Amino acid sequence: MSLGCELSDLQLDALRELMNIGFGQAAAALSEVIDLRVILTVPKILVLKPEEVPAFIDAEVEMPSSFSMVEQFFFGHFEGTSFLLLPEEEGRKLASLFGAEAAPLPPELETGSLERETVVEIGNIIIGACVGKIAEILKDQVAFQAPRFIEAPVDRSSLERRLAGAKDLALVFKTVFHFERQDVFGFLFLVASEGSLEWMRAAVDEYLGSLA
Amino acid sequence: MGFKVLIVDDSMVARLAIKGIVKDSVDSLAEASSGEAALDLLAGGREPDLVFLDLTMPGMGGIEALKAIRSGHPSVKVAVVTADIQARTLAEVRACGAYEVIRKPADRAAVLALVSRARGEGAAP
Repeated sequence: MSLGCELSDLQLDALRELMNIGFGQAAAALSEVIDLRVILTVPKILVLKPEEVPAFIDAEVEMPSSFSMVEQFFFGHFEGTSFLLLPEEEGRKLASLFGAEAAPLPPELETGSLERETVVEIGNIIIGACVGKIAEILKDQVAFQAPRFIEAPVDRSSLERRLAGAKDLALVFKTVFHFERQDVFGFLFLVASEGSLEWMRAAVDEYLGSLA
Repeated sequence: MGFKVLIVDDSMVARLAIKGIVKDSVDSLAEASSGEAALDLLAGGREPDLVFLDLTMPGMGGIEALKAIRSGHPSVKVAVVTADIQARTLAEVRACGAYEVIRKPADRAAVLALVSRARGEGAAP
């Protein structure tokens, strides 16, 4: 049985709302960097066992999945690993958005490098804003490791291998970023460590209690 | 009669947050979980004095709901409560006639000051 069953609808709603707030922060930061408005949609939140995540992605994305991925660990009472997955094509779109605003590339910097740097930067912004905001509202403070770019193609099997070490549940957040010029979407997965889940449930309850 | 408030947000938690702040400062509270439901309430003659409106909702979004309320019920003040704090979004919201913008998570003092102002008890900014 998934531990997700142990989270009530109200607790899930609270986490969705916290994520919504986190993405709002991320959008503001992104829009400043690329000077484009980012239109947010309602984030989708699911609580899955780690091994269920690849199937979820398969169901959500109609394509032979190949991703660019940024991985970043965070530490605090709220502790775990975050993965930002962008379908490979989305990474290129984002790089072009950044590239369009930037000066011409130095000759030694290849287009692939720009894409990699763009995806890492976006991952850093989104992960930092979301995890940081959730932690802040839940009265925690998290530290981050430097984001790590995982070279494409990240396919289903490599994702399964990475998630295999996670013993507990994955909080799966999906959001779609609509930029003014084109739609770009990606997935953010937060895989909370086993030890932090009990804290999170208690912190969410405390947060809910503070609203009464 | 009294001062009537409507809170519109798809998140029950977000509605709870606003409700918890304003419950002792208003005379009547109603809730709606979507823009469509809010418009139904207004069309049914339950016109509030102040609406707290989320922007990011499934179905009819907050901007569309804001436009509809301002167009059909111009005397109703609409305070947008949003996590989307981009300058362009705030400019659009204000251009659509929002009375005020409250940033999520809602700050208690800011919400109470807004209610007070909307009731005509406080000085306009």
